[in-house]
Amino acid sequence: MSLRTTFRILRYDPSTDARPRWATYTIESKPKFSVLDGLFAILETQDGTLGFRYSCRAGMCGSCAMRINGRENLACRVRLENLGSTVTVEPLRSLPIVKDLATDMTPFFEKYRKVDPFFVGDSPSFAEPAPEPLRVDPSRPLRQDANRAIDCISCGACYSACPTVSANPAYLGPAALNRAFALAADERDRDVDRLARVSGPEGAYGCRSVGNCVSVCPAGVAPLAAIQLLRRGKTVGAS
Amino acid sequence: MRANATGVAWWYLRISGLLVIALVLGHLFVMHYANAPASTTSAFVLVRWSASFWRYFDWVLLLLALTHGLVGMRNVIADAVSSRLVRRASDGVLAILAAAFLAIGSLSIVNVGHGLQTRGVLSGAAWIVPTLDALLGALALVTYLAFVAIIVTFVARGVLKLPIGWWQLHGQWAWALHRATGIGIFFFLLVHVLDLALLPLAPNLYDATVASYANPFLMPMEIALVGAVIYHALNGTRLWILEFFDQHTSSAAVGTFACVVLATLVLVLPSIFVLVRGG
Amino acid sequence: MNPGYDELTCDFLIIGSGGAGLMAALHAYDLNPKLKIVVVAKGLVGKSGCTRLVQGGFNAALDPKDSVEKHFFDTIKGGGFLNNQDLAWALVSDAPEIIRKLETKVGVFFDRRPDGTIHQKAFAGQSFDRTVHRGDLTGIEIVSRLHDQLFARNIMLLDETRALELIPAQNGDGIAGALLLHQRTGAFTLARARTTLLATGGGPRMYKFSAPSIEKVGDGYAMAYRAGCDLVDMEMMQFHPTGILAGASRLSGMVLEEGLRGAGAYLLNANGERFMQRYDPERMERATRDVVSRSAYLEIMEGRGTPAGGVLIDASHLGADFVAKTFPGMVRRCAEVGYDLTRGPVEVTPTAHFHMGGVAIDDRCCTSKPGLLVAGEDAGGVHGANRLGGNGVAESCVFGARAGVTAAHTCTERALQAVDAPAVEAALDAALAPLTREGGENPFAIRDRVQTVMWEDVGLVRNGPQIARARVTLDELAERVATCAAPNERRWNLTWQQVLDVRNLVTVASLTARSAEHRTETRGSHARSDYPKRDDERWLVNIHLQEDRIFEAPVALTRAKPDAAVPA
Repeated sequence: MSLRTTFRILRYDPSTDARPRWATYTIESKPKFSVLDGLFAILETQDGTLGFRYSCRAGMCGSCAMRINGRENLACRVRLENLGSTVTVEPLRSLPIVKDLATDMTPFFEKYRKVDPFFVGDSPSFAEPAPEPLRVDPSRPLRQDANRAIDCISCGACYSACPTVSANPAYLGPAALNRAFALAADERDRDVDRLARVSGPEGAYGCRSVGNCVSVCPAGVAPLAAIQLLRRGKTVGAS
Repeated sequence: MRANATGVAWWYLRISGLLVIALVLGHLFVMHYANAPASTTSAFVLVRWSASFWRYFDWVLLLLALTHGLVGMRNVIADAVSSRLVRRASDGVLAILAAAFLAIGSLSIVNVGHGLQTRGVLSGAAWIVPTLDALLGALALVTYLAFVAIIVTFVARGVLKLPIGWWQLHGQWAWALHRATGIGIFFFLLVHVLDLALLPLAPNLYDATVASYANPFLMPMEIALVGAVIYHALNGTRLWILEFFDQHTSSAAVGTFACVVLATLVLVLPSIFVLVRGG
Repeated sequence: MNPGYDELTCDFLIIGSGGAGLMAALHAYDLNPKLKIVVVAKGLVGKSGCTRLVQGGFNAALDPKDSVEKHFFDTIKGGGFLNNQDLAWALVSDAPEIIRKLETKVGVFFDRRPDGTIHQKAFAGQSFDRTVHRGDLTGIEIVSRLHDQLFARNIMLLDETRALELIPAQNGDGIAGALLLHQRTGAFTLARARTTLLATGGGPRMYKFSAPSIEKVGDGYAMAYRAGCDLVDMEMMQFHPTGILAGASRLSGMVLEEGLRGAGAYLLNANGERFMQRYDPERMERATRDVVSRSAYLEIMEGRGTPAGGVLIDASHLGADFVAKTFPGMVRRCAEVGYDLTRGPVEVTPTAHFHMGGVAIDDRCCTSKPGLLVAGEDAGGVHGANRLGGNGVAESCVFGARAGVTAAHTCTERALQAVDAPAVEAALDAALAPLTREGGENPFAIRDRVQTVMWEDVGLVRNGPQIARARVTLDELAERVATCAAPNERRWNLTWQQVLDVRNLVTVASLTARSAEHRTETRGSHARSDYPKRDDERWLVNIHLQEDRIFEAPVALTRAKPDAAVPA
């Protein structure tokens, strides 16, 4: 099968370009090619200066999140055969561009950090021996909500798709709040102050219930649901 | 969660929204379905507000709608402005606005309930009618221009084969429309409180005002108003369900948005007939 | 031309941010919070690498009915008795505590049984169901939670920074640090450290079908070899039997995890036969990976493969709901390329998956070079001739922890060394050379050639003449790599990175081929059609490669001998 796909890619090198510009490439679309495969074909045979980020190519690392035909997704998981003959590719929104399709994830992880995203056990130090793992009933609804939340691969798709993130620089964003929920709902976690840290206007109450995050998440996480559970105080432990 | 200003505001928006739905839809039905807008003259209002049920009804509606709108506007401003100072300042302005308009509205209801005079304190101020027209006219102009701008943008994007970005997500539209209708209804409410204030202050000008609203430039806005209120109410209900019952908030929720839009369009139709036929 | 470099001084330099690197960072920090620790990752910290790709799980003898001894014997048997028994013993005896640490300190949430205890599932080649897991996406959970723990500690993280060379100490006393290249800016940093940990992960990507992330090209092995380290068992490359075949997409080679076969899935050839009947009738599809991969390969070579050149895995008889619930990640991945794993067969091919060989270490992760530790896949000897499923992420986490503990001590004992300045200059020049060459070769084409040569001539079944031919080709390719060019732009230049990648890839491929040529027997993952039998009398030795010398050392059978039975 000899189908050709035209890629329109937003190119931008902040150190040399005044502003982003569109560049067009046409490749032969081979069977089961993903958008990432297409980008590699361009890089390897047409334009060795193209910039994009990749790692696992199997939808697990979240490195290749970008906007494909305007919609956030992982480039390695979108098949060219499901798109038209022209594909528009842009970097994620609301993050500074490092080069072409690769964005600087620092602001994303800075907000992630703000919710203290690390588990706090009974004996946190690695210098001490570990206690016995807690028995956890896997059928409890809150545990199942937490299980959905921990599937997050921190790819940034939800962050890019959220209009509140775009408008409000202080808003923590869906991924960070989802993480806060996952820990607040974890009966093994000993940090009881988590809810208080995310209940300001830049936290869970800053969410406008738009739902773009749920629509675009490639890992099937529902940040809006996590945020709502935070708002309703549906967590374990006092706060 | 611990009580804080933002949390309280969030809950209030939802509770006030839930309480006001029945009241506002009832009010809408009376004003745009059971009667044509042009027939809501001072006589009509007098009859209505001589019954204490309607006085209380309209007063609670005013209170809930004003405060709901205030908190909603607060969100809009918070998303547009990062400066804490500006936010605090706008909080103050909104609070003053709400207090002032609640006072004005209360005065209107109380005074008219005692009966209508033929002339009031401001009866000689003929500039009032064109001013109110201009306010609504401005709102209309902004709405029409925005509508055209949106259509042009999307057509241009289509022609230039540019992606429409997050506008392909139903949640984006639901939110944008909820905001737009909320802001529109809020400003309309402020003008509406002002024109009703004519009843105690300049009863002769009130009927002139109502008649002037029936001009062709503003007619689409009547329809838009009905649509806006219905959409805002239905989408608000959808948000309640999404937030409080659908804990698994799946993207199948696109169906609920489609239902809201469809229901709005269907429910608006009878009011158009009434508007065109009556008055 | 030389743009220079800035200097970074620290106590503990960790190259790699997978399970090994992150466990080392956390342990070293908690034992001594005053240490300045730097973690360097070629991609984004905590997102790149292969620990994240682990689907199946982590083997640990937790159950009272299980035992560390049983786990040990399974590991040794699976490894064809080529394992370093001290390392294997360290692996199995630390594993239970590491699982407890992951659960109670890192916050990893392992799947539970209905009674709330940690669930352990069946995996191939084991005498007990001891594989701890989270759904079928265990790696994401482990690495994400380890990454989160970094935020609670003052550890420096350098994303998208690759190590170019290990830099020797000026006085010859081991390693003084590493020369780093920041891929975003093209700037260089000389990182001086009291202790350096190599934890970059393996080099299976020298094969046409392989499982690892795209950036994995054996940087660790190549740097260690160039620094004069001793590499062991390099011929031992594990091929996983079920890599997905997805048309021409790079997704091909990605693993469909062993748990599928553990749960009872069938492997079928194009005629619909369960061909394992012919190769291992007792264990069938649950035989070890080396056996199953070779069987699939032979079926394909003998013409009973599918038109696309693979075989079929079929789990549909287990029930669509069961498959969907137990392997949701896999079902989704298959669906994206047009397969329905819950209801029908999926085309698969053997795929290069894990490199058992690597840098020789002791059970404290120390190498022959003072100041250099190695942990995880970069290290060799733990798994012998074949790795059991579930022992890989166990190795990373167990030895990463050990490396962290060792580093906490060596960082106080070993002083910061002056660097060998000519070595730094040479590394810098070698890195920059492709940028100023005119009209050089396309490094992507060379990479493709390496992958084809290795697949055909040093693949699942090897023979002397083919390997010899491959070695000649690889030597040619090494020369051609030296002529590769990239656009003259240092910022985010993927072509330049590919030149640096393929240089290391060719080095590791050559080492693998050399070792494969030397071992004239079949054992574990190393199969010779010209020497199809296992020969314990002659070949119970490990093959070492160090500074162009190849030598053998007998396996120290300190705890188990080949004729020992598995204990009750």
